[in-house]
Amino acid sequence: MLELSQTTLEQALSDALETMAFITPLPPEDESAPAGPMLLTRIEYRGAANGALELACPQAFGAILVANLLGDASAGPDADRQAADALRELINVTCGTILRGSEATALGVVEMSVPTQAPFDAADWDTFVAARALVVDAHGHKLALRQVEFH
Amino acid sequence: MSSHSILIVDDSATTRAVVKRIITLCGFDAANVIEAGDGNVALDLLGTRAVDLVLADLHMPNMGGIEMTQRMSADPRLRTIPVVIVSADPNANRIDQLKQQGVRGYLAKPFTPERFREVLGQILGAPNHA
Repeated sequence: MLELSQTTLEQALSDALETMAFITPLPPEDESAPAGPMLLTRIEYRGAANGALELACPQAFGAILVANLLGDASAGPDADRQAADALRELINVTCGTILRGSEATALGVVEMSVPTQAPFDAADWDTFVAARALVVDAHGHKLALRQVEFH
Repeated sequence: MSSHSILIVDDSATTRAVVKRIITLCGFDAANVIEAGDGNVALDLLGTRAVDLVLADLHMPNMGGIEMTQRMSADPRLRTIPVVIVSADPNANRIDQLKQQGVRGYLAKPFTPERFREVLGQILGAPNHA
């Protein structure tokens, strides 16, 4: 079993955001649901530890990630695909950072899945956050990251 | 700028664009960068193009970086092309195994441009403006 603390989640997410995109996450002013369309991005890990990481955030944050990653705001027909792609990369890197620093990979191999995505309903935000989610503010957008353990 | 032919293999077009940008930021010539979305496409390209370095992800649909590297090692025309794995994979043992199979370097995501330049520089030599 791999039980992740809020500190571990925060350090890994900060490391990924700062190194990939020069974005420093901050504590949010409040933890209420963000406005606008949101995405749930999920990655599973299986092997010496079994679980998933889930990231709920506005789609618009994906566009900010792309702009910082590529040094240019994307407004073309591929903008939505790129934004979604960038969020998948963010959770992939965050998950890898967490597992690399955990004792799980010393015990055996841990395989990470290809990240998946689905629309996220703002009505589910409070329930999501109440399940020990880390909430941060990144460039004015709220991001909620949580671990789901498989038993 | 240093001019080398570099093949980026990753199923994420955004990640390929990011790696291409970092190649330029590090002083290498991105005009000679080609891209593939998986190991199959990469092997096809390697059969027709001269490439100085392959930067490959591990986990991709159709054919991942491990199988691609194994096939390159088994092909006398391709086995001398250096491969650097660029991945978030957390398993240190796997990385050691890949190095034993001939992979020249490993860049763990997230990486800094400085680390990227260091690894590429070890294989391609320092970029001209470094």
